[in-house]
Amino acid sequence: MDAYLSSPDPSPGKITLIVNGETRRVAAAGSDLLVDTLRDKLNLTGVHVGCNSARCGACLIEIDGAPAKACTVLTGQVEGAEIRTVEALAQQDQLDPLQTAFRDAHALQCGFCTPGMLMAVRTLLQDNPNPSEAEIRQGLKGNLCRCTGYQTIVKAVQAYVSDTSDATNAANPDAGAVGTSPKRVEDARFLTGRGQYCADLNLASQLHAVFVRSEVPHARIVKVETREAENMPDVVAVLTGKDVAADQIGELRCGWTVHSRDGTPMQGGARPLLAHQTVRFVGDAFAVVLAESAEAARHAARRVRLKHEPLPHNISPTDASTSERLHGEAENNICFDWQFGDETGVEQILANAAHVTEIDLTNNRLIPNALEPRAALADYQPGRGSSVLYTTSQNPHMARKVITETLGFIDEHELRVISPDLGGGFGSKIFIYPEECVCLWASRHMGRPVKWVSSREEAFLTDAHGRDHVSTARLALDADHNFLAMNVETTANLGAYLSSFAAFVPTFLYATMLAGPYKTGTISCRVQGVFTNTAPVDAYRGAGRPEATYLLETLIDQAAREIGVDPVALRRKNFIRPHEFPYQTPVALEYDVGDYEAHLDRAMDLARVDTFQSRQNEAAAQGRLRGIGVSCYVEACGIAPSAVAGALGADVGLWESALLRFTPSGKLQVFTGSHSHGQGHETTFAQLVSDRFCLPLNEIAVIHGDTDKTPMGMGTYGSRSLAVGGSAILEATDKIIEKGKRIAAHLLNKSVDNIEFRDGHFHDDARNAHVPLQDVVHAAYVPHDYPLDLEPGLEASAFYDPINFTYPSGTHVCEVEIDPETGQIDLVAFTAVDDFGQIINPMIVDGQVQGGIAQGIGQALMEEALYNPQTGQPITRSYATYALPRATDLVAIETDTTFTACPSNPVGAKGCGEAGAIGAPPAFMNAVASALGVRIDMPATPEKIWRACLKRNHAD
Amino acid sequence: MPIKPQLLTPDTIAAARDLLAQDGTAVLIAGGQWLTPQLRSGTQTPEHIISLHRVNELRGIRQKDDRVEIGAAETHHAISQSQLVQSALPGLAQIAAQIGDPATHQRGTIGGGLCAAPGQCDYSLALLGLDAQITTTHRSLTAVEFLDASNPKTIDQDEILISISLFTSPRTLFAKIPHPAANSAAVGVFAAELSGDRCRLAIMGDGVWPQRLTDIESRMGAWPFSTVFDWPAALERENPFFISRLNALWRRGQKDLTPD
Repeated sequence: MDAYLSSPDPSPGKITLIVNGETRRVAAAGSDLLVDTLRDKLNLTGVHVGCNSARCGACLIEIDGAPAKACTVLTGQVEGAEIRTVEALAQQDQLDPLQTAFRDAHALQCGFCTPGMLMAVRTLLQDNPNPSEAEIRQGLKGNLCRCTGYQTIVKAVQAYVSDTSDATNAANPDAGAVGTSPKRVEDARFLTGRGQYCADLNLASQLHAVFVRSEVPHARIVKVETREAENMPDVVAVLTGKDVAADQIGELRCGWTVHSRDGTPMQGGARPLLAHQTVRFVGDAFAVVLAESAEAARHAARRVRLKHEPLPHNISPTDASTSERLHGEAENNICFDWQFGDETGVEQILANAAHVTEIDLTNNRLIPNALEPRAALADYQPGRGSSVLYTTSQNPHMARKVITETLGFIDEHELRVISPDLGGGFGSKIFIYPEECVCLWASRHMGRPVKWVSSREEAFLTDAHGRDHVSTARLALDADHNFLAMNVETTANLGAYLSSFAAFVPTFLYATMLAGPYKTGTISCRVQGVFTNTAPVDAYRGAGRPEATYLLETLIDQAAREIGVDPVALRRKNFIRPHEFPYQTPVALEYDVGDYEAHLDRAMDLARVDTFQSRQNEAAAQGRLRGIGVSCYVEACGIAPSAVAGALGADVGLWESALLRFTPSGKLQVFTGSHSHGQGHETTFAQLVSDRFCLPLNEIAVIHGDTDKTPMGMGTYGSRSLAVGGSAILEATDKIIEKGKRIAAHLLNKSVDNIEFRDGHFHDDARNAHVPLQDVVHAAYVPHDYPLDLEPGLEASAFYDPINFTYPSGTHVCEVEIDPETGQIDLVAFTAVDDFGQIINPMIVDGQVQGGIAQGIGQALMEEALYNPQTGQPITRSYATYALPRATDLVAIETDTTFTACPSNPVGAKGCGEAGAIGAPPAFMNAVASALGVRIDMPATPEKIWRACLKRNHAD
Repeated sequence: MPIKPQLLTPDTIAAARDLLAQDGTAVLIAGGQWLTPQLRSGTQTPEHIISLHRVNELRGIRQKDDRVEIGAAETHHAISQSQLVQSALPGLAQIAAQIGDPATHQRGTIGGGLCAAPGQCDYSLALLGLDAQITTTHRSLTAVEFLDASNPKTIDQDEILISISLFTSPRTLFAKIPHPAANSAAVGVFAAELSGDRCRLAIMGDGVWPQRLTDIESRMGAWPFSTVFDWPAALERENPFFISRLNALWRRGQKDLTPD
């Protein structure tokens, strides 16, 4: 064969690449994927791996000026070619103009897709320096972004092309006042490819872990054959569920206990770290291969054999009770049969009401698809306090607690959990999964660090899925169209195991939101949580609240159609009025404040609802059906008052913490227990304290995600970070100011009662004297002239436990157009007006809304996790089979806000991260129903639409 | 078994063919869009990977009498941008232009797409519609033979697709509705009038293998073709949704061809 070999010689060490203008000799094999060579050999970790299947664009680079996904190129194929990665764009620390345009337009959040996006835009503009909006969207079609909804990226490109970047506040790093939009502090590292995600980290002598997963949906394990794999090159060990059991390692359990209507606690669902006796879904891990390289581990994993006896399987929540039992304790596969509200009272009203509307609906199963796959790097070091686990977690402290409790061999105080930059979460990275636990356990077993990075297929199979409800709902109205009572019966698919919050999401986070913004007299809700042979289901952006809002807003539109009234008028009629707050709903929550007509009116205006008819007529003239849909929502955020959470079954408190530390040179470090993964806390939280202390933003650092650095924290989810974590920061700020006053009083020779802090100075107004904050900081650390009874130093910590949930609300309006012959549906307009209370950074809030709406539209338009009911096999296990919104699927979204002051926390903030995912699906689907005249279930696929059109034509 | 496959980069078809013959597990790579994910996931574990990027014989777009011959390693981008293709085979240029995203477009090749999954490769429509002749190292196949639904001729492990030769026809109609995730045709239709008043009509899509509708070809009239006709009854029964979409695509495509 040698006769035909031509250069490059495939043996490592011989490949010459021209990368970012430099000629590099690389120790790589010709068959190595270029993405691996760039990352592992040249440390160009700005080239990200989101799918390794040529579909996500996170690894997009330039090869000879043309766009290429580095995961589709072999290293030996590009010898001599000019390769350019994102690292080449910025000169020193100076962003290039395109990077600047991205920063100024807030075209990035978590930063994971950003390097690929930048390179895609560069290559697009080389061919077409003046692209239209449609051409820009087309040019970005190969790059998935899960955070922004693409609109800000399109705007960034437009601003760059026309040289009109909005650099407001960018030139002035001092600007940081609450209510302004300074550019984000974190963007520079993301734009230059210097974000540090978990997969970018390595430890000397690390082993690589690859999990061996069940290919059958339900089976009894007879034997796991590991011999062949163990004998493969570079394989160090293959560990199985038996080894886990032998070490008496515990099982993962849900952190929330729900009780059934008969008073018994929920049953079943505990998850072993590696399946030992039974595999319960396709993707269930039963062994882990540890090898010197990820490649060796992957190859060996395919040689581990599962000898099994198949068991009957079921993927359908409605067939769960008649299917083979998944967990011994859970009879009929029912984990809980939960009841909320006055069932008898509701039934009586339903029996006698002037009108009752009833619907059956499903809420489709989703796969969150944070673009960065999960990962873990564990280094167990016996001896106190030196073990480290890097992991992709939205709440590192909780991860530390649960992981150490589960493993048993290490105590909470002995483990440091670090969650570095995180490429999106959307809920899926809140939970404790088996993999990170196994990495730490295996590290102890092997005496070496262990690294695992999920593949995209593993993410599809094993990241906690979202939604998956089947419901029947009935609404009773009186003759004047007042909502009298509502009954909801839901079967919630929990999957094969109970994930960390799984019992809480379809019960308390769901039923308590069924009142919405309306004065429904009484509500009852019954939820059966059932086990099926599918991936576990847990919180996904919105978590329970989107399911409740979708059901309620669909039901109301259906009622309006049946009665023949305007759906907006029906909503307006039943709204809780501003003077009726605080308002006790029939589903436990007491709303603090709101003005629902304000955002409804504004949304009607912005969406030009009054002229919809003419747009509909125009469409009709072209044979197209145009529809408009409205949804109104209230969500409970700022999770959560600990006492309330405890009464509802939580095992934990849901406060948040902050530690503020002035350095002797007068700079400020803000340590928060929240975690930022795209939300921009490093900017927003800095603004909070900048505003209080009159410190420029560049003198403040926000630090998060490290259990050894930050105070105890409860993490980021449920739109809680600013409302709860921000409040803790403000309380710590107050403590610092109080202490500062005592120091200032000493320096000014006055009583502390006379001192006020404002504009960055401690004032004694009576004497017209003042001392700057910096002098007080100096005095605290150099206490030569200092109060005798006061300790030196200037730092303070605070824990904040909210007094109530917060209640953001909003109105979303959607317009769609349908081609009745093909079933193709186009989103043509979307308007969102939300009340988030006090807004710290309007740019960031708008980004959160846009991104949430994009995900909500994804659910309504195209996303659906599917399993084959016959085989139990997942059908959607790649980006070629699971459709996600791309730049070409979305349009410009118009947003605005209204304001009512939130009385429940000192920041006055209500939370904005989940609003889009809550409001968008019902607005979209009500628009579809408005166009079709009948309701269909999500997602609104062309085939469903076409069938509905067909039925409609027959009816005509 | 070594874990890392060896990358071989022959300069000629003959060399590539000999390499393939020597290792029954060897695989070819051109644009890499299909193979690389399989290498990563381990569904393909060859000992040798033979890259065709140096084989210039597999490149080129050239006129040969009343046909255009396209080298199998030509990219979607090159095909869509080729002046020759745009003028002589506008339907093929349209197909190429709509394949994939910009990066896939730049690297993916016609040969790669046809070898990997001809049933989901939009080029199959043009192959059928333009009476293509497919040349490999081992044989020459007509499009109908290559895409025979009951007995499709997959390219064998030791075989290299060299070129595709298609009848020129500026009189074509192409329309597709892309699959929302995969982007290949969920519904695709291609029609051409070839010299000598011969018409061709090909369809493909979700659940519909690429196929010529020879019964209709005789009835569809000369370019710009007739407005309406009956689609195959069996297909209409089995997949009425596909037929409805096809009908709409056809009518609109046909209307676009007709001057007002």
